[in-house]
Amino acid sequence: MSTRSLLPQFFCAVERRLTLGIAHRTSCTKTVIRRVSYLKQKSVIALTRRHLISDIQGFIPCQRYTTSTMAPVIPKGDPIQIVDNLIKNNRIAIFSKTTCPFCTKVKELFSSLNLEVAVIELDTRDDGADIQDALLQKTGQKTVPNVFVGGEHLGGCDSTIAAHQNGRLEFLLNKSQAGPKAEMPDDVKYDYDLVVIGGGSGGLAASKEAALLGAKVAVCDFVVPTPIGTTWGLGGTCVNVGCIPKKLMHQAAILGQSISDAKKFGWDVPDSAKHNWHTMVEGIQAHIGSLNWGYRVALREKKVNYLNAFAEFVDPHTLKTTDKKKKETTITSKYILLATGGRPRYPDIPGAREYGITSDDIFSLPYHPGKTLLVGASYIALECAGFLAGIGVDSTVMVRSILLRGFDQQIAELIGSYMAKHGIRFQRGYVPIKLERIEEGSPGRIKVTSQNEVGELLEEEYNTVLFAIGRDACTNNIGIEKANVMLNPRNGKVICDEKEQTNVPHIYAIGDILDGKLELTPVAIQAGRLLAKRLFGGGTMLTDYVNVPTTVFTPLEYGSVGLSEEDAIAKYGANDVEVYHSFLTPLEVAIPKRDDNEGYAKLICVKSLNEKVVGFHILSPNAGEITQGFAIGLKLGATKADFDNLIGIHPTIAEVFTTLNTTKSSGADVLQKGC
Amino acid sequence: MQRVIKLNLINETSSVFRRSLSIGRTASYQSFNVQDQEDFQKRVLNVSTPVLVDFHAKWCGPCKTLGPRLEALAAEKLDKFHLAKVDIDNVPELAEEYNVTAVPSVIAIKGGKVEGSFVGVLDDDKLRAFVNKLIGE
Repeated sequence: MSTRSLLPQFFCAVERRLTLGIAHRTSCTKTVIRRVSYLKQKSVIALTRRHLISDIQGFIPCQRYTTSTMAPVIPKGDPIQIVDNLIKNNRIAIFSKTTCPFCTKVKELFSSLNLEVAVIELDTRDDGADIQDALLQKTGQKTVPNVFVGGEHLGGCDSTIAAHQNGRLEFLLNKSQAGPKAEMPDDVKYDYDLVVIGGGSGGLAASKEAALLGAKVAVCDFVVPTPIGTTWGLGGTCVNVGCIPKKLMHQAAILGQSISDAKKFGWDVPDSAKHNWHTMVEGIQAHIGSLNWGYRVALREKKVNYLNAFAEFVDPHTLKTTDKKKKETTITSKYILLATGGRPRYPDIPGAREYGITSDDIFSLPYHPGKTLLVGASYIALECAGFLAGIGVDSTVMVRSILLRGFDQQIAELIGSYMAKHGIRFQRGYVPIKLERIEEGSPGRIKVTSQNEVGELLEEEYNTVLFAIGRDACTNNIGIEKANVMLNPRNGKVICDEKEQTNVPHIYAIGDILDGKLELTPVAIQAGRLLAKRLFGGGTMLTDYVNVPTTVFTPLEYGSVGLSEEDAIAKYGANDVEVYHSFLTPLEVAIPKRDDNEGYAKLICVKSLNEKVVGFHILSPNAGEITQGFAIGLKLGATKADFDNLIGIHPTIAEVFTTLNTTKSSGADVLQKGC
Repeated sequence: MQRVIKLNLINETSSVFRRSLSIGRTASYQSFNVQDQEDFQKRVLNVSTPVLVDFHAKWCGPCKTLGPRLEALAAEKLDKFHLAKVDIDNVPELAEEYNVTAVPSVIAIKGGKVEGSFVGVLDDDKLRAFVNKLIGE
């Protein structure tokens, strides 16, 4: 790698002048730029308006010099331009402060990697504060260091170190080194313009859009059966073993609640309304069957070639597909889109795969699960426990530590306590260590041995054990190494840039396998559609992964957009964050007299940004429906005043957001009281 | 009132050969599940008897209404037409070939050629007229 080739013109110009001994006055740049320990002898050039500084080891000091014709012109007074130029012209750009230990740490990291960096020290400049504001606008990050690699925002010290560990830094560096991607040669003929591996939400959306734009497209979809043999049709996780059956079972549970409420509203309902598992599963599976068929028809109508076959890389442009009759075919494609999604993880303990099931099995389980243990604190574990308990299944959740990692922890605990009050048993601090079959059957009997941190054992019998301890990206058996696609070694996810492009320019990835992104169906759909438009329709829009609304369908639904309280504090600092909140009781439960003050709403605002709302959280019935609409407010940058100015719809749950006036910091009571 | 009894299972999974016993005489009709494209070629396209092909799915409610009525008509008309049942999830290639986008879809085939088709559940009169046209009654 030629060091010089990586130099921005700016450096070249300065360097040349230095070499030639030409001194000019620098009248138009305020940039302090350091390059750390990469030009073996020359090491560092630092330049200010007034003088060159030489504060880095190994630097050969030079005399003060001035220039009147500075080369790369950074327009004076435009901090945004200064930021953009530094990012654009340098492989690694760091906005830093000389006094900040984290900045030093980041610089040391790059130095230890023998990488050149361009640095602006904000505290050495008159316009440092303006640049910092520009950075805040651009990245939402106010603090330094603010690191960019290959034109992409990496974040602060922690994110940079994390990126170094998870392979993202390497990915961005390789990418910026490769330069603008060369167009693929036109003389190579491929079977397809685009082959999509994975017929889930993202893959189908991308393939249909691409075909609509005239591309020749194939989708490979093949469901590897679960250990107990469950399999399904076209459409991926969401349709078959995720969102769709989950929401329908959630609805089954809600109806159970409604039936008991109905009596209080005057309905003559028998006291023992019984739920029939088979009827529910049959209804849900019939609906899914029709959706699977609908997807096939849609592919056919859009002239996408559907291959019900397992695809593996042979080389970066070639895939071997194997159908269920073991017939192998080789296909080539100009572009390849990885959209293989994820599958539930099993713990590495005796009996887990033999006797346990996962969310891949529960929605089509041909028998009533009986007494069920749900292992894990993920939203999947809590949702499954919620609907199972709601239809009368004896449900226990075994949780190692916290609930809903990554979600707002105050709400996570509220969800937990609501579920505990509604008949779901929690065993916290335990992990299963062994499953033994006591009796065969549908369901059989399974003895679960679990252990807590101090080694205490717990033994209990269940009929069904469902693991929901996480999901693994399906990237380990598709020959991805033959295509040289970079994965995050920690989770096997595909590292991509903001264009969903991997380190191999013609290979892209979307959906649950994308490292550092959200595992949500609509995100994958959006990414797939926009990617297809960029590849085949001259589109330029990128998927916006920020402020994506989502909802956890626990018995009380939890909807959120933006940051959790923890993340907001980490990003803006506790002093700059104001939380407005209220407990709530939906009118509907007033007559049955249940769930008093079980609901909760909060807005997380940033004081210095005019109380811009950066986090929206609602725990209530129909939270999903509430959150969807409000999400656009956050996307448009709504402030607390905008929420206050909005008029509510009475009587609704959602109207609470128009009248939130108690701050958390005030410590005032936010329980809703009587009439 | 006719009574339909299962006489003979020609092969385990597919072909159900049924014989109807009606007053004083013995006659038969054929109703079978199509296994694959080859099976379809042999028993639908390569036969001279008209065949009603019922594209259905397990998850399809209306199919459960139409299926038994087609079966009853086949039994009534005896060997004047055969009833071929295609589960679109088992043999999607056929559904694709005949451009089936919704179920139930019924096509009438005579001498390998499509003679007519309908989608959805027809009322009895229309169904009977459709069949009569196919068998020339």
